[in-house]
Amino acid sequence: MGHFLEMRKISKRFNDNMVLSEVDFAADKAQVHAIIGENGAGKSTLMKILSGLFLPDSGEIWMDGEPISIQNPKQAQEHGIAMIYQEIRLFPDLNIAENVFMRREPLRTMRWPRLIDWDQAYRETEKLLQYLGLPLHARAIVKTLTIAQQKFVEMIKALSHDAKIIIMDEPTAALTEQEIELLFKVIKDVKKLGVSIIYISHRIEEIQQIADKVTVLRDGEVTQSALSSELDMTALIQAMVGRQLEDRYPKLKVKHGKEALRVEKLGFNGRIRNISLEVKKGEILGITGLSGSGRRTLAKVLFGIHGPYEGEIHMNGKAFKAMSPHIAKSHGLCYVTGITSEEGLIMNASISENIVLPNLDRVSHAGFLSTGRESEYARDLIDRLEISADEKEIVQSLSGGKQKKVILAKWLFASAKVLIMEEPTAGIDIASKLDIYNIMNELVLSGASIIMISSDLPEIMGMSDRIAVMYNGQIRKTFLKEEATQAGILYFASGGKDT
Amino acid sequence: MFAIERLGKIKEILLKQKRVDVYELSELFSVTEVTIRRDLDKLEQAGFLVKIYGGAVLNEESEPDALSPASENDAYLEQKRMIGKIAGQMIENGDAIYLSPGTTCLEIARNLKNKRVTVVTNDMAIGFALKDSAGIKVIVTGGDLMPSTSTLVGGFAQQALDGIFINKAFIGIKGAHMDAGYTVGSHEEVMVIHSVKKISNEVIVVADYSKFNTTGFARLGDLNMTKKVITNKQVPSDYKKLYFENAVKLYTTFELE
Repeated sequence: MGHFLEMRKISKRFNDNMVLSEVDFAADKAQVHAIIGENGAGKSTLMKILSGLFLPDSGEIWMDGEPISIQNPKQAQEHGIAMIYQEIRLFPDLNIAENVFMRREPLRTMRWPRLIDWDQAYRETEKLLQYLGLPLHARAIVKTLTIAQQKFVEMIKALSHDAKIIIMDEPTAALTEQEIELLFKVIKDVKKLGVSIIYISHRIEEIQQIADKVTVLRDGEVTQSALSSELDMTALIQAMVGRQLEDRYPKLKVKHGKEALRVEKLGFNGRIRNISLEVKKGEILGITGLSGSGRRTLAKVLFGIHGPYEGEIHMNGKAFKAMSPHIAKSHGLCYVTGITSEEGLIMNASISENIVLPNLDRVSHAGFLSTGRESEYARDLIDRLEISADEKEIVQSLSGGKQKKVILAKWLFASAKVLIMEEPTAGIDIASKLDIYNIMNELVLSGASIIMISSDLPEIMGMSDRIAVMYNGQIRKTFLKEEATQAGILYFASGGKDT
Repeated sequence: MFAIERLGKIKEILLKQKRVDVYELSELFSVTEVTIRRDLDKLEQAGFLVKIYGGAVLNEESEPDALSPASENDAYLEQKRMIGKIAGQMIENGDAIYLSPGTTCLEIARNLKNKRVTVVTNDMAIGFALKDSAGIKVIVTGGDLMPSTSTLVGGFAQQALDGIFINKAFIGIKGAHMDAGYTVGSHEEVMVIHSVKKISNEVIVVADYSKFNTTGFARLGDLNMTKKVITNKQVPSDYKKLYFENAVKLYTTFELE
């Protein structure tokens, strides 16, 4: 018998990059079919094709035994395909029913004056809420709901559209354990309505709880497709990682010195728990984990953006029970973030203004800013980091690689001793990437320490001396560089335990 | 920019233009004229230049030290020093290393202080530079001395490499080029390096950035001939990309202190 939905030999390339190559995928009614794979494996692209956001270069989509055409999101919706994204897409100031019936409100009569039949809208919303056993009122304003509850509203919205296929992209990324349990119950109830659910995730242990079938993608190809009961975690990880890439990272061995930063039993808001770690002078400590593992929360707690926290942070022989960016900076701890954020860059200011910002004292005379000195320092750092730009250039006009270097320059100017670097090379060109790795070498050579937070596994394995793997707010395992393998890291990042 | 780098740049300019102007230099480096005059004083003491009114001229009489091939007025000396520093980091106590002839490897030799290693070289200048280093065992191959150099080549040089094993071999080159690959000055040098490759665990190319996009006379091998390369940050981006894509570890120098 044929499947309810079939995607046949779907191929897609972006420029020279083959993102999907002849991918076959099938889903059935009243089943949860999980798609897993590492970042860049092609999961999202495949689902964006199904929901009409991308057109495939070749391949066909069949539904109920007939070929269908999906040229845009509207056509996908007409075929009963709904996608629930990682980020919530609701109107926060409207109530549940208003969101559910947005732009297709039921009318009292088809004739003028076309009044909306709100009673019906509320009735239907309440009915769905009840069916799913959710203690929510149809008139509740969306922004007062938790993230998990907002996800349920999106599901109800999809159901009220008569969705036959609901695609869920990393639905558990921002949820707590109890919320995940409730979400799974709701998914099972929705499944009973005959809906086919496609569940994108890289949390392997969840898949065994919720999915009936699993398809594994790697580098745009299907490497495994089977009943989830037939595959254990090791088999799934094997299908995900494939061959180990040759190490190409210019890691320089540097003798480690005294302890630079130590953290004991750090906890924050349930989002990170019981974290203990230390980094020595000259050391690069890598921290990795899947999205939602708490790796970025940890960085923000260390730098004093999130707080108050449980536990202690030790720096320069002192124990801190509270942290703020100001205290952190004054002890040489800095946070090199993604590009646009409070600790990133001011986009419409010049390179030199951005660089001197964390340490204006060094370029001031009796309280007055000396632009001459500002430029001199900036030119020096631009030259040393090979940014190849004029110090007066506005940051916005620079390439991603150059912007990353300006952020680094800013912290070098502030004489950082411990650098927390978050996704240091994400989205930048290879030459700048290599420059950043070599700047990291030079930093540790000069006695600094680096905590590198990255989801790029080859990078973290190539550049770190030790690798801490996070899962669900905790450090599950710490590998020495020599012991780490991609499969090993993924095992612990997916919730695996030491046996 | 730091004083030491500025000195290097002033030397570069002097070697090219034979004379420098205090005002122009202060504009170029955005420092005061007083700072530039102080730099010129230092370089005069080192015998590199002679000060004149408003500037300085290259001291043409400053002769290279007979035993160090291009010696102190090497325009890229600072770059080579930094390469030497990184190479020094890679060398561990107990290693047997090979240093190929040339000033880049000479800088590596100068970074071996306090290490207990065995150094094998066919460059008399490198051997000579290590003569006072306690703890380092130095073996200079025999061989034919190439005219006006300190490089030893030929059958005797190759024989000396027979039956020994090297942990890390550092190879200096004349040119690195996308199409031509690595090149050195003569076929005789290629022969010695090929013998070294056979007895070495790890081979590392060392080349300051001026070597890229140039070629020497004799071809040594492709750019992915070795798994590690040490050079400077100024190396063109397309080479950085090529090395990364071919799984060659590219170490570049960034002077942060």
